[in-house]
Amino acid sequence: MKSSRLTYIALVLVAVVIIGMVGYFYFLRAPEAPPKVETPLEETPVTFKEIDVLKISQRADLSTIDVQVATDAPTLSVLGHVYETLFRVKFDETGTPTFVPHLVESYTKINDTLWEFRLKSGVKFHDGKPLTAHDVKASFERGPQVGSLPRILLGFIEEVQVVDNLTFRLVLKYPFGPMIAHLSHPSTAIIPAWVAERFPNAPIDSTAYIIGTGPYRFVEYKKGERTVLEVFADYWGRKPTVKRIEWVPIPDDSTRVSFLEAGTVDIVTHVPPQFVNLLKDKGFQVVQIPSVRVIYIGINVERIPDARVRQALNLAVDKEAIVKHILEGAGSVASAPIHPSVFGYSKQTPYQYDAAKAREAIRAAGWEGRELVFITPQGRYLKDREIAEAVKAYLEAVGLRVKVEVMEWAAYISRVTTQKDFDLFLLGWSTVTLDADYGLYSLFRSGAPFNRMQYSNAEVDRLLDAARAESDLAKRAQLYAEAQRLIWQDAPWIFLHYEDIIVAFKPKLVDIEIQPIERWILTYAMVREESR
Amino acid sequence: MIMLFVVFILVKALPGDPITVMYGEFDPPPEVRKALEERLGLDRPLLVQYMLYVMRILQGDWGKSVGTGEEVLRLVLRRFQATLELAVASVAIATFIGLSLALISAWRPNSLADKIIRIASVASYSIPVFWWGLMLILIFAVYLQLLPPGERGGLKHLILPAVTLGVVSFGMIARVSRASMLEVMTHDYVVAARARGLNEVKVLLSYVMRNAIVPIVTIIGLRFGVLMSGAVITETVFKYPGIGSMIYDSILARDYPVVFGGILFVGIVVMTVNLLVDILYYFVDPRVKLEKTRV
Repeated sequence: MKSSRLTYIALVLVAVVIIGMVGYFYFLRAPEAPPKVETPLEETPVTFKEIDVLKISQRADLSTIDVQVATDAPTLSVLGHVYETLFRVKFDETGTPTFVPHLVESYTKINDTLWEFRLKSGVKFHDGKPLTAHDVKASFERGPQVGSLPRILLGFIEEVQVVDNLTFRLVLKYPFGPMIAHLSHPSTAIIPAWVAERFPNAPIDSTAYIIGTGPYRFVEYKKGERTVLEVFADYWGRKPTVKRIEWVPIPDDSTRVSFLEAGTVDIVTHVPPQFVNLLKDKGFQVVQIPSVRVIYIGINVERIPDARVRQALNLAVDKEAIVKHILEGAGSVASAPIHPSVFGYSKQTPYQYDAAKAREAIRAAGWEGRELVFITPQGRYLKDREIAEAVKAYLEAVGLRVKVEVMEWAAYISRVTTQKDFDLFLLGWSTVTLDADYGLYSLFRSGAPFNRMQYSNAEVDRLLDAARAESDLAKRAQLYAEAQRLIWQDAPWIFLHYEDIIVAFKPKLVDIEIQPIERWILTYAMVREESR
Repeated sequence: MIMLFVVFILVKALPGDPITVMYGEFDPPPEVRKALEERLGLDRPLLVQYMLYVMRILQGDWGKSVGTGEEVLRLVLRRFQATLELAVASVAIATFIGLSLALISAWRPNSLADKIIRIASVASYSIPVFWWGLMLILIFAVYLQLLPPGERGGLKHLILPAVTLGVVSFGMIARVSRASMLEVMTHDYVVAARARGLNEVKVLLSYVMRNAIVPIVTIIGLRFGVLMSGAVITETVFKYPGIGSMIYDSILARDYPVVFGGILFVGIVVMTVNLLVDILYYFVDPRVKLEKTRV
């Protein structure tokens, strides 16, 4: 009996050791970096090859097939290859954006609230019909009806007047500085008039109606499996170098990365920071750039009306530590409510972590021992839950009690939108137009749709209204700077950080355009080949 | 139907709805909400919604996915086919390994081989599926690059997920089979068969196995039934498009037509499998036949 028990224990130990060794060898042991061979550039002739099929894996599947309804980056990246906008944004090496005409040939300002645009001729939709001013009118009229984003982005338009087949005029409600930036956003893409009229007030419900003017046609969609785009033969612009793009949604981080390692996909997005070095060591290209997404903890101002308390909350949280240890460096501490590459950004003095000062302020305001309800989603933003847990610990260290409620996204967003029974909530916001109006007006203007903090400051409202209508760039920037100073001081957020975008792809892929607005453009990707 | 009703109520009781999810961080425009609620029938009382849903199902209309408009029936059938392939393959692997090990165990109980097998069996259902899955991906797809790490598409893609599920399922089959065989081995007819000098293989296969089969069929049938309803974790790790991950994803997106369609379909399938297992008893266990004829 005794000996059999001993045998058991011995066998179990052996099993544990084997499992441990397997785990060590395949999980922990970082593979040695491949020896780098320096080759003089002029001796290796380099050729670039076009690509038949490019496979990319994002974290999420399409949330909708309607480009005017979509709000999330993964969906807009896919549909951005199918649809086109009047203008488009380009970034230089430093990440500074410029806006260039795209479907538009030329445009002139007639007066502050009247602009005339001329479309490029010879642009065709995927159904063979030519692009006309009527399509623009129909798109801009339908957009705000069905989509929250177009409602914000095109809200400045009073009327679209068709002059002739290729010419149209925009009558504005008020002079609108960020107009061109707004007309570059994928949600303002042009869809055929007949599709717009078929779905006047509800999302498109069949892939048969996904018709744009872009370089790719939408050819196949299998929910949760893949989306396939194929090059559009009659595309008006430069001929794409990738014939077919397959988008494979893989929500699980480890699986997504292993698909790249195994060579099943060519590109993976949303690479978790802990995989960056591993992938680099294996020779994959890893691009890490700051995104325009700011992560913040909104403070319900109705429930925490004292600005001193809100400032204390900002002082209590060590943002540097969160970025360094939780995000593993995949971000940077926020220095304003909007990202530095956004027009109108004005650097603020960060709330330096100072627990003693925060505790003192909380005590002075009589808030010691109060309980805050803090709701957070899980899996929506990089390490969202972990950040919430850390913030809870920081706030409890300065004398508050915090109840964290982790919720899955659907329940969370519905609660944030419809209820106000919480003190703190974690959210992210991407200023995708790269203009401060989008990043400030909808979030901090009294009664604005995404002002979920219920924040209200008459002076901020005045500044934001004035900046919107100002066409002089320097004056606009100044107005935004003043607004940001007040917002920073009022602290309706715990200002956390800007998230980084991390995308990894196969060693020889080149010309993949990764934009800080979380869009990837694959149209002109190629394979670099070195032949001796 | 009762099951569907319970699911219907539970899923509808979850906070959030498909329209909110579709619009992400934004509020949907109220007119759209109204139009969509009408399209989806969400504006009606719950009971009416349920009745309408059942009526439509009976007419063969399973509805469309809310966000992307894919036909639910087509989606469910495609996903189910993938699940069926995976379930058959993994149950075959599990049964083969499980029965072989059980035979060895039962043949020489308490031997070293038996002990190893018993530990392996416990390990089989104790080790987390995702760990096995990731290990297999790392070894066979990333390091050796012999097999694709997942997705669907031919036998090659099926191997890793099927082996993963097979490995986590064989333990239960081995244990139940071993116990059942050992029990049978104490019976007089086995002793008699051995006494008559029949060879050991024949004794094990025709005497022991034959008589121990009922619990074995039960456990295999149960396992099969469970796998038919999808193996969410395995499907997630291997990005295998089975029905489990489809239902899971649609619950998160509150894509009601897909959730209900998926669960209804799985319910029907599991019931059918259980019925088939019961019918199978009739063939493997003569007593079932006898009792019937007596009554």
